[in-house]
Amino acid sequence: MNPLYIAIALVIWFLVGVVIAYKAREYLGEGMPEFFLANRKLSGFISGMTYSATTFSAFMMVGLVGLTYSTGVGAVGFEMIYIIFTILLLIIFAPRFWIAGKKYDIITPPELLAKRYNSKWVGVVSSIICLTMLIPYASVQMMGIGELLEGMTSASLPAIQIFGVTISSLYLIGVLLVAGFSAISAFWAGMRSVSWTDAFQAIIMLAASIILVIFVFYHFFEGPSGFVTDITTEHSQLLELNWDLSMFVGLTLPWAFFALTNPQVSQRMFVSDSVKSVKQMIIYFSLFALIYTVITTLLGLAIAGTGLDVPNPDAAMPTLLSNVPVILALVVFVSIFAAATSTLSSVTLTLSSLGSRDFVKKVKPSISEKTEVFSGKIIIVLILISCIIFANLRIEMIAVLSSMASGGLLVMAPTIIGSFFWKGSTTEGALSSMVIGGIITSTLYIAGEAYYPLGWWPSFWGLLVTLTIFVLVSLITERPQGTEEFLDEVEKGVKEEGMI
Amino acid sequence: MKVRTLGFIAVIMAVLSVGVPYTILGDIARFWASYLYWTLLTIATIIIGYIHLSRWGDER
Repeated sequence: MNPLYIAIALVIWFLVGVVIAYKAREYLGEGMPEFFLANRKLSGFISGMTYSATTFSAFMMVGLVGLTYSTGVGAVGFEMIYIIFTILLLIIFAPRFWIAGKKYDIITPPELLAKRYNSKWVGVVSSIICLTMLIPYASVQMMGIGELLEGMTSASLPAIQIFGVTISSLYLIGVLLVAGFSAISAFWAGMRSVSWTDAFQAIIMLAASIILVIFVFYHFFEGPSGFVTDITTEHSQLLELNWDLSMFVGLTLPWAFFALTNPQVSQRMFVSDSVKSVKQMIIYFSLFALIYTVITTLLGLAIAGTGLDVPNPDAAMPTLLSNVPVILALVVFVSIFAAATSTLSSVTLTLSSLGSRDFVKKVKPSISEKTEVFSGKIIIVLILISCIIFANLRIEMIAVLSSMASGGLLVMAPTIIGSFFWKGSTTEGALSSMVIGGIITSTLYIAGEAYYPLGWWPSFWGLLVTLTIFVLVSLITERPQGTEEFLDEVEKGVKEEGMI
Repeated sequence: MKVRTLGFIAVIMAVLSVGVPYTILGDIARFWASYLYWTLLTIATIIIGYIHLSRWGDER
């Protein structure tokens, strides 16, 4: 595709996004809750859209489409189970996060754990796990866009040498564009600008995918029924479940608990302005997730039916885009850009809140809220610079660390669930389970598939070990001071607000 | 709906979403098999969630 068209499309998207972020800035007040949680004043629609855009990254239109194209219906199950569990977890946990956040002025998910377990170390360990797992995940968002930009255009720009590493100019432009937009939306007005731009991006993501699937049905097949007939007769193997059970469980398990273990989404349980908005956030997310998943998986199957020459699963979507009208390809391309940037800006903002709240504030408790926000802004810049460096080095380790992200974060699940639903859970149980579980899970991921015990994935073993340690250690240690008070206050708040 | 009921629904959903496709539907190469099954299970969860959420705020 002509790079000029891509540049024009990206400039339009960039300008609209910047205007939205700038408008959000006009409403920015002072203080930590204002910068990192939009002062807990987001409406139901914005909460739902920022939740959706943060959850769904470029993985959906590139990775999931490719996965469905190459492995069939197993990918549908993997993603649908994620939606089922996210809805149930949000209904159970969103009221409790929301009440605890307001009651104790909590900004970050690790801070909530530190409060419940009456230990700053629980918060620090949880923050370290989040930072270790999510920086590579954020870098991969940049790498994905760099590669997409490189693959979408036939133009060859000269390569650049930076610190002895040769980088394609288009790849670097993609990386810097995503980083730049994320920096603007996170830096200017924190959660308010991130959530507003997220809403804009979510609408682009959904609209582009709907238009694309309708076009594909009528251009490559004779409408939806023609598509169903073609896939059923010519590619029926894709409708059979051919995922190995251990792979299915290994991939699905971390995603089933994603809503609790990934701080960039769990932090969004703090941001709504009312019970009605929390409710709407869950409903809007449910509908968005269902529609977007059905469309992306149908697109994956449809690409198999088009007969296009796809070199590898990740190239399925770029190949399709090079065979549709330019204007449609541009809209979808921008929507993938939007998916990556919305995830990246949310991850960056959340990690910066973790850094300033759970590290800087803990090391120097006397600092003012203004200094805390300032340190958060510095951390935003540092995180994005590290991600740019990681993305440009394209080291193999990043791929491993990134795939480890969801499995690694899963080790926090027992601690989070126990914090609201098991009075007997203790600080020692939380700390030992997260540390030992984290080490075992990471070691298994780094060791590789040949070392998976009985062929089951690290996420499975990690959760099993974490849960066992959490329960056993909690049983033999004393519950932290203030446990009853914390739980009573939260449950009282949930009842008073009628969220049961 | 109490938290215990929601937890019970989550366990049932976990069993149904893995058990049925891996024992009954997995070999059937039709859209109405695993694909539709998982989609309907998700729609059922959305409906259960909606019914539960519609009562939020009533007891205030």
